This record gives sequence, structure tokens and C-alpha cells, in this order.
Amino acid sequence: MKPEEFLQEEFANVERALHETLRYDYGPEETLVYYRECENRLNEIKKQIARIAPSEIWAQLNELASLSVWISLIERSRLGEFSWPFAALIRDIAKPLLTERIYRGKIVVEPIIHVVAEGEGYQIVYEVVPPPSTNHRFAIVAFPRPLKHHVLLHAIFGHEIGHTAQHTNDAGDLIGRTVADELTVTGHLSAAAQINTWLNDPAAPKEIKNDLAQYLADNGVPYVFPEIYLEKWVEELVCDLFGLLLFGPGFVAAHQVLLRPTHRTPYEFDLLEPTHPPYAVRHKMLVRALRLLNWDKPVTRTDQGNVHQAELTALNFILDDPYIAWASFFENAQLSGALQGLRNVLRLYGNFEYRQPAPKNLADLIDRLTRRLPPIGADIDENGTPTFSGMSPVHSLFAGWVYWLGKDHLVGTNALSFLETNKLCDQALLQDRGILVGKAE
Amino acid sequence: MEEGLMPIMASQGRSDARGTAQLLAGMALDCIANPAVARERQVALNNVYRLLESYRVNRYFGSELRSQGYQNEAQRLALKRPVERHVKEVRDALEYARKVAFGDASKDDALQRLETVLRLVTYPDANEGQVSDEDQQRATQFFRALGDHLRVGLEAE
Repeated sequence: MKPEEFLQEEFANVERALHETLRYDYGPEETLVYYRECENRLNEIKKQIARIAPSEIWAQLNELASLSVWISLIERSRLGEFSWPFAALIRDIAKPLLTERIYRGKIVVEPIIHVVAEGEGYQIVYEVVPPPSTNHRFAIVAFPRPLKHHVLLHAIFGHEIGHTAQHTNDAGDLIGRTVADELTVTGHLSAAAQINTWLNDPAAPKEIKNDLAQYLADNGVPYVFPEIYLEKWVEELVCDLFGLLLFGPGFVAAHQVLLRPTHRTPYEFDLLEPTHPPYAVRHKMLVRALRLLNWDKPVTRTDQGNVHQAELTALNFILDDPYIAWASFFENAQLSGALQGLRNVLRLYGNFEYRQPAPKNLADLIDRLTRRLPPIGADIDENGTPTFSGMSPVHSLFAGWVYWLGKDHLVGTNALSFLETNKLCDQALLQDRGILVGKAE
Repeated sequence: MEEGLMPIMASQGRSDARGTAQLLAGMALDCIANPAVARERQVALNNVYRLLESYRVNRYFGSELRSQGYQNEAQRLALKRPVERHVKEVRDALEYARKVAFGDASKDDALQRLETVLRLVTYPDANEGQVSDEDQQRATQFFRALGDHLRVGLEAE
């Protein structure tokens, strides 16, 4: 079989795989668009193959390989293995941010956001260099399978959406110019040499001093921070701010609960592959940002009794920052500038910026949880018609955190478990989405 | 890829941005030389634009880490698409082609001229006139240099 014949064979194989997916039952949303995108890509590839040069056969096989992965993902959407109302929330946020304006708006193309459950952690995979046959880019949102109901932790997707948005040509360009540039104009992230100075600062914690000494002993030369990772640190910190502005204090709670235990010490980082800044740097930045945004004060009033006490306890946990001043990266003005830049981006692409709930609304949501009901901001009147309070589902998540962290003030020994709290919040998102869909119809 | 772990078939998922860029450069060259075929290649040409824009405006384009291309056993079986590899080499090839075709012109200026050529070839508009000979020549030079640089890099491996 000649290479060009094999290419034809592979094309037929991928085409057959796509058609066979029609035998399966899939989710109610997006599947048709997804299928059509695969079908259109195949049609484009067919045109390309008709003119292919022998030297390009390998690259064309490469494109077919990519398409075959996308097709296999249709079959594995696995509805029921993740919180689909949360997935719908991610779609709402991500779609405008990832929509492309080709030739500055002559053609507007929405992404296809496909959701799967995975064995790994929270991730969004985006097509950075789309193959020639691409019309809509794919963005695959991967929920961790074991955390099916843990919507309080899913706030960490705010960070992942930040990664994807930064890699787009539209929102990414703006974030680069108004947020990342602000964080790198001065200070530790302005150059790799500045990171080296910071690492060798006499005020550095003993963990860092020990790691640097060990590196010197092993290699005979002092450690030098690899320049290529500087942008990675910038990207990660921008993502953390992204999550904060999308999900508010609940993001910092999820960040803390998920990330803190995965670090041996809060100051450590992988010297050879420093993909992420030390946890202490990230947490310290988030706590400072919370204060700059004025989100460090309780929403509820002192006359709201137990609920107020519960919120204070939750905020104490979220704002707890036991790390040394060395881990502080930015001046207040610099961080404020970056936050303002990011707020402008979020306002430009949608109305997703976190806003604090009204005191009574937050108290009502928490009260529902204490009565083991989903914390939803909608009441049903005598006719069975829901009256929607206009609260964001993100407020249900914050109420979940306040309940969980401050439950000692709210209930006795009969408190909900963390899983039960999450399940009720997941149900609230489901009901909220149901009302939204019902109203749209 | 680690020795002994080379996929046997395409369906096992390679993701090499250099191949994609090579195909895109070849298609752009064809369409600039023969605009009559551009209409049926609009989809592909839009992706040439996307690639150029990523190179022009995205600070993270091509900053993927070598280690991101490698996956452990569990990750190889995972459902997600493998991380695109060799985007950095594509960025280097774009940088090289820009110097060849546009010399010391600024990146923004060079890319905007290229994108104008692409737009007029893909979506001809009588009100906007035609591509100038000079811009057409530079665009041809650019995409030829891009394809050549990628090919030479691949052959040297």
C-alpha cells in the first residue's frame, strides 16, 4: 500500500468512525453542532487530500489523527458523570470569551465547548493551532470524575477558564495588554533575574534556602531560574485572579481546600520545572486582592445573628494568611491595576464579574441549607410559578461555603457533610438552570 | 516521544503543530498564486489568519513546555486530546519567514499587510481594490519561507 493509498484508507476509517457515532445517545446540547463540525472537517480534509503533495501526507495523517480524537470524545461525553448545570455555567462564561472575530469581526465564530469527566484534575483543552479544516475551535472541559457533585470545588474552573481565555487571539490579547503587562511592568515578575534576586533574598524561608543549597551541592553551580518559566508564572497568577473575579471569595476557599494539601510545604516549587509559583505566593496574592476588592468584609449584618457569625468564620478561613512577607509579589497599585484590567475584560465579554449578594439574599440561601434544602434564590407562589430573585448561581456556591465553614454557628451535631452540602448546591444550580430554561421558552 | 511508545496508528493521537502550519503555508501559497481556488478554501485560509493572529498578538503563543508533550501511562489512556507539540518551532518559523519577507518592518505592520492579502484573496471586495504586486510578492515570500523553514527543521530531526 502506497502512502497516498494509506491516507485514503485512514480517511475512510475516520469517516466510518464518525458515522458510527450516530448509534449512540448523547446529551441534549451541543451534540449536533459538534457532530456537524466533525463532518465539515472531514469534507474539508477530502478537498485537501485531492491536492495533497507527497511531502504533506504525514501532516494530513496528523490532522486525521486529531479529528479521530475529537470523534472519540463524542462517544465519551458521559453525561451523569459530572454536574451538568455547572457545565452549563461554564459554557455561559466561556462562550463569549472564546468567540473569535476573524478579520476583526468580518466573520464571528463561536467555540464548541464539550464537557467530559476525566480521571485527572480540572482541565480545559483548547485548540491552539487549529488544523486547516477547522471552522469552530473545540474546547474540552474535563471535570474530575471522582468529584461528580463537588460544585463548591468546581469554582476552580474559574482558573482554567483564565488559561483558555489567555490563549485566544481576542480576549487573550486584551488580557495580555491590560493585566499581564501590569503584573510584569515592575517587581519580581519583570525579569528572570528579579526572580533569582527574590529567591536569594536573606528573608527567604528555610525551605527555599535548603533547596537552593541542595541544588548547589548536586550541580556545583548556583540555581538559576529558567527564563522560559517566567511567563508561566505570570499566566498562572492571572488565572488565579480570573477565578477570583468570576467566583468571588468561594474561589479562594476552593483554591485553598484543593491546593494547600497538594504542596509538601507552602513555599516549595519544582526547581527544574517551575510551572507554578509557590502556593504561598498565590494565596497571598488572592487574599490581598480580596481586600482590595472589599470582599474581605461580611455581607451580612451583625443583627443577622448566627448567619453573620457563620460568614465571619468562613471569611476567617478564606483570609487566613500565615505566610511570610517574602511571598508577597506585587505592590497594591499594581495588583489593583491588574484587577481593574480584568474587570474591564469581563464586562466587555459578558456580565460575569462576581458581585456580592444582598445581606437578606445570602441569609436566605444559608437558611435553606440549614433546613436541608437547595440554596436557590427563587420562590414558588401558590400557582406553582417560580419567582426568580435574580441571584447568581455563584451566590448559591458562596452560601454553600459559608454553611460548610461556619456550620458550627448554624446547626448542632446534625450538620450536613461536605458531600451533602455540595449535592444540595448542585441541586440549586440544577433548579436555577431549569427556571432559566423555562423562562426562555 | 519516549522510545518504545511511538503510536502505531494515527488514531492514537499525535498532535504536531508543525504539520498543521506546513499545510496552512502550502494552501496560502496556492491561493495567493491562484486566487480562483481561494473561494473553496475559505475555511483553510481563515485558519491561516488565526495562526498569524496568534503569532502577532498572543504573548503565550509557542511557550508550551517540552514536558507538556509527554504523558505518563494513565494520561496516554485519558480521553482528552494530547497537548499540541512543537508550537514553539512554528513560532520560530513564523519569525524567520517574517524577517525574510519583511526585513526590519515591525511585526504588527508585517502581519497586517499579510492579513490584508489573505482577506482580499479569500473575500474579494471590489470596494477595497486588489492586492498590490509588492504585497503579493512579500506574502508569497513569507509563506514559502515558512514552509521551507519547517521542512528543513523536520528533515534535520
